Amino acid sequence: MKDSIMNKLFISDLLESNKKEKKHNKILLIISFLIGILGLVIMMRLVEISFPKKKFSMIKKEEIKKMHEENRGMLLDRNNRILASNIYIYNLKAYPKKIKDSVNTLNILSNQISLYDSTALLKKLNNKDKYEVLIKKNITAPEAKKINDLGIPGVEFVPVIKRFYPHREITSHFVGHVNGNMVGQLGAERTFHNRLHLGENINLSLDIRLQFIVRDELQKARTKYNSKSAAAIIADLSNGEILSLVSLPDFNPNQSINPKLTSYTNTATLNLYEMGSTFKLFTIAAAIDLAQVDLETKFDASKPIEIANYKIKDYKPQNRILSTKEIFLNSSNIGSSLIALELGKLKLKTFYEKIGLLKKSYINLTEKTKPIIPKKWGKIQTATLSYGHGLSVSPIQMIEVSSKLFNNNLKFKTQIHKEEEGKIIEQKRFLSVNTINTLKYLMHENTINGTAKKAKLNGFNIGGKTATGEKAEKGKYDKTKLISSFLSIFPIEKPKYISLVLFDEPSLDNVRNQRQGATGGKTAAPVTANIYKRIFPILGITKNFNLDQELLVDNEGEVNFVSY
Amino acid sequence: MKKVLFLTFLFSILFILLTFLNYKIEVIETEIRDLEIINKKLEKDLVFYKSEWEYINSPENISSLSNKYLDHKPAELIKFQYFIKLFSNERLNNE
Repeated sequence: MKDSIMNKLFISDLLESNKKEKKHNKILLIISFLIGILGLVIMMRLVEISFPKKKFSMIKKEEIKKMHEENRGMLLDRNNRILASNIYIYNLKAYPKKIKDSVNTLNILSNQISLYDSTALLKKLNNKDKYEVLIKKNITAPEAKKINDLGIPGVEFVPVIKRFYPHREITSHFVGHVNGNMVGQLGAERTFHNRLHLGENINLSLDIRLQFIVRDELQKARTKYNSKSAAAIIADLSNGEILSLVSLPDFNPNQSINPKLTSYTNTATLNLYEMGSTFKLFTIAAAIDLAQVDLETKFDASKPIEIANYKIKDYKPQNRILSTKEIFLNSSNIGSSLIALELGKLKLKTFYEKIGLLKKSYINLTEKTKPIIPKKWGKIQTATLSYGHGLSVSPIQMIEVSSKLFNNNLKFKTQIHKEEEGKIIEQKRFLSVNTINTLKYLMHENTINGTAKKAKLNGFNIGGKTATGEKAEKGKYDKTKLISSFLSIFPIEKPKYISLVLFDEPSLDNVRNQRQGATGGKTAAPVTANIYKRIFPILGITKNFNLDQELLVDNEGEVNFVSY
Repeated sequence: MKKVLFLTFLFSILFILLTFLNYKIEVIETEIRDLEIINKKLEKDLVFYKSEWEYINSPENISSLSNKYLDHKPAELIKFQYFIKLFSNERLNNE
């Protein structure tokens, strides 16, 4: 009995606790439902927030791209000096409707800036139907600030991005320029347009210090020799980097440019010349390398040679038998022709082809031309081509081809950008060590006892070859129109640099009949020496102190001392 | 059931935190954007000043200024009589 009562009580307790639990569960269910809803709302908010953010990031990318387009990359020299950059300039605009006293406005403005046509401007400002009038373009920031501070009503400055070339004419052909839409038109601006367009800064191979010196000396010499045009190139023999490239006449890329003017043409890469005697270097290189001749091999240069009614003469006839060395030092055309004939047309042509004389230069400039090669290559062409007549090449090609000889690398290419450090340069050797040493010896000897004496610098060992080519007009060579040049390498012990200085139609003492005497040895060689004197300290080429006795030199019978 | 409730609660807290973080990121991104704009402006100004400096500091300008204001000339060969004159002038000055 007692047990049954206890059982009933237990069951009723159990039922009651079940009821309570059910009630709790319901409450918990409601709370969880509410929290779930809250979570859902938060999730929806999250999704909501994340969508516009994605949209925003897409806009941002477009904005960045646009900003890159606006911010064209800078062109820098090999030492990070600015050659081309973007600056803001200002266009001054006026709103006629907002101007009460146009005469006074123009008076205030003319006190600050020069106005092109004040009367026409006044007329435009008085015309209240016009919304805006352009008063002046290209005002610099300080000028704009000065005018802005005056608080003239109705005038406003509009900023415009402009390409700026701080070195003006000095870098004109090398750096080039852009058009109004910031598209590269010439030089490095054209070559690297795509990269610059994306905002990338590019280091060019140019050294502005050398470029200034080379241009300065070339400009002075061009005026002195009254030459039509002039060009100078200095390149690094180890990697083909162009350290300096000057073409005269030149232009200021910051001003409006007329491509029809001769100053726009890059003489160093576009003009083709029959170079003359520098070709003897290639002829002798081929003959020595193919073991056809050595420095002591004798050739009869006692009288002009005649091939197919064409007489080959020397500029300074020696009228005797000459060795290969003497042919080079006296720059004998007869001797060179005889070497070429000994070598044979096929071997000479193959050598010229191999070193790239018959192809376009590899330089990464768009402005370059193919050489003009003879249509047929017979005996007479073999003879004349041996001393650089009958084949026209550009100065840059001359540098490139000659570099192949002294660098002994058929894969040598010139370039206008700075090479990445440690980059392995492709090599393909093609000459014997003996040939290279002989060429270096001849080049050096030529500055001491040959035609390039005026390029000799006391205490420095350089090597070079002069050249004087006659211009062909109406099928005839004109002795009064010369192409005088000097190709040189330095330091001669281990050539690191190569240079070419060229004058188109130079004359001595600005006298017409002096044109005949304006040879490479008298014009380009001394100019090269003047350039070297100034650039050697920059390039770290030191004076050879073993040559101390040469500090005292004999100059036209008078003893000279060196002053510092 | 309790586990479900706890997890729901935890997720809700997480979502709240995420929303808060998202908001913070948006604020920071706006700040970055503003700073980028200022930075771009400063970079442009810097390029301008650098270009101006490059123009002023160009070898051409330095050369013309040094020719105008300094009497510095490159080393060159002089004639014997000028070399002697250098000493005689110096002696005169000393006297």
